[in-house]
Amino acid sequence: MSSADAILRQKVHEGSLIESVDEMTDEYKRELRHIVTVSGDTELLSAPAYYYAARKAPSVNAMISAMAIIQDELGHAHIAYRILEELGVDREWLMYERKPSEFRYPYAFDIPLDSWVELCVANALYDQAGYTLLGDVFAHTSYGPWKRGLVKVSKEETFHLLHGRRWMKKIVDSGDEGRTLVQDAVDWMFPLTVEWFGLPDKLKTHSSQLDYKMKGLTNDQLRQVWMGEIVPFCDSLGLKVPAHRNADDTGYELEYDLPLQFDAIEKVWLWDEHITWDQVVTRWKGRGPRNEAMIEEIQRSRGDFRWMFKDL
Amino acid sequence: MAATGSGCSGAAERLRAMPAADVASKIRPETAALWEALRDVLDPEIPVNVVDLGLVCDIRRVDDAVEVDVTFTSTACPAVTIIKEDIQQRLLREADVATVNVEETWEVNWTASRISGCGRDEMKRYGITL
Repeated sequence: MSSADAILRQKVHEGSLIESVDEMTDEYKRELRHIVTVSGDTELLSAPAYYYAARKAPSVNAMISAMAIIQDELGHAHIAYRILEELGVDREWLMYERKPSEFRYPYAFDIPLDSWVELCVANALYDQAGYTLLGDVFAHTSYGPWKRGLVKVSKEETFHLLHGRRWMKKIVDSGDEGRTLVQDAVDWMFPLTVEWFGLPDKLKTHSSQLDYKMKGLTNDQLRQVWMGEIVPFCDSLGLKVPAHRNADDTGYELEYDLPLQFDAIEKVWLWDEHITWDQVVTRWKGRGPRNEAMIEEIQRSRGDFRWMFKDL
Repeated sequence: MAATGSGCSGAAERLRAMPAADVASKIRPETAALWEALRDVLDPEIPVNVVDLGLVCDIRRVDDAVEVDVTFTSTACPAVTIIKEDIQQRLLREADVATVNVEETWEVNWTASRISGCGRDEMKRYGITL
């Protein structure tokens, strides 16, 4: 670690915010680029992931709500990519020139959402994960422009959660058929969102993002915050989730051993097939079924009109 | 529902802060408590209550039946259903209210001028200036 880097780490841990590239060390800038890229890509890819299911909305009002959420997500991606631009990353390259496998977002979005019910459960579970991660960044990040940009993001994400929760309750309350559909979606999405927070702390002994105070909580702590919201909510609807409050009442514990094998085509967890975290990382990096189609959807039209933008 | 999003306290202060004259003139003795109750209903995106946002246009009461006229910031507001449900659920908790009918009205042209002083203060706290 360079002395400049040591001074910067001390500065951010004393509460100072970094406001410009001039104040950064190369290591800080590299780590910030990485975490903001993951954030921006996650927001961007949620749009096509949600769009397929949004077209199955049961009413015009419901469709408007879903499309507004998608518009919000694109706006959030724009904020992140704008920050990356300030960090010297070319936005044209970020959006339109990367290969599908080079985008950095949770594996969950690569699993197709095939129905309105699945979209609503995703709004409740996935957006709660996003809200948890960005809420932590908002509270703790040492990068001033990102902290301020997240004020709008967190307000809008609250609406997404509420949308998902309202619809889940409405569908569950409609009767046995609705309850079964919601439970089926929760069954495959809950463990997928548990994975969203990354490797367990015992395997990830060092985090530069924590060293530079780009975020404040570890993967396991964030997973706990998410479960603290989702498990009681699902319990309140009478939905079964494989997690419960632990015996000493200090947090939540899973009722299965991580990690597990997942059948991405059938959207089922193979509860008896335990795998290693290396295998999970290989699955994440290999991307899931919808990765290429979603990136193609985002990039296709740009290619058709590239002649129009060449001088802009 | 969380506590009111209004930072103002006291009915008189809130009324004074209400810029939309058409609303202030519609707060009648038999509906004053209902207007007050709707300060508990927050917009699901920007957590300011629907009265201070100027969304509630009129409340009429005949015995235990209540009718609410509500407008939205745009015709394609994504929160129409949620806000209407929240208004209905909140008013049903009031004494002697048996039915609540929430109607959308587009006769009122919503603009930011309908946001009360209290609402503006609250939005400012969230980093939104008008």
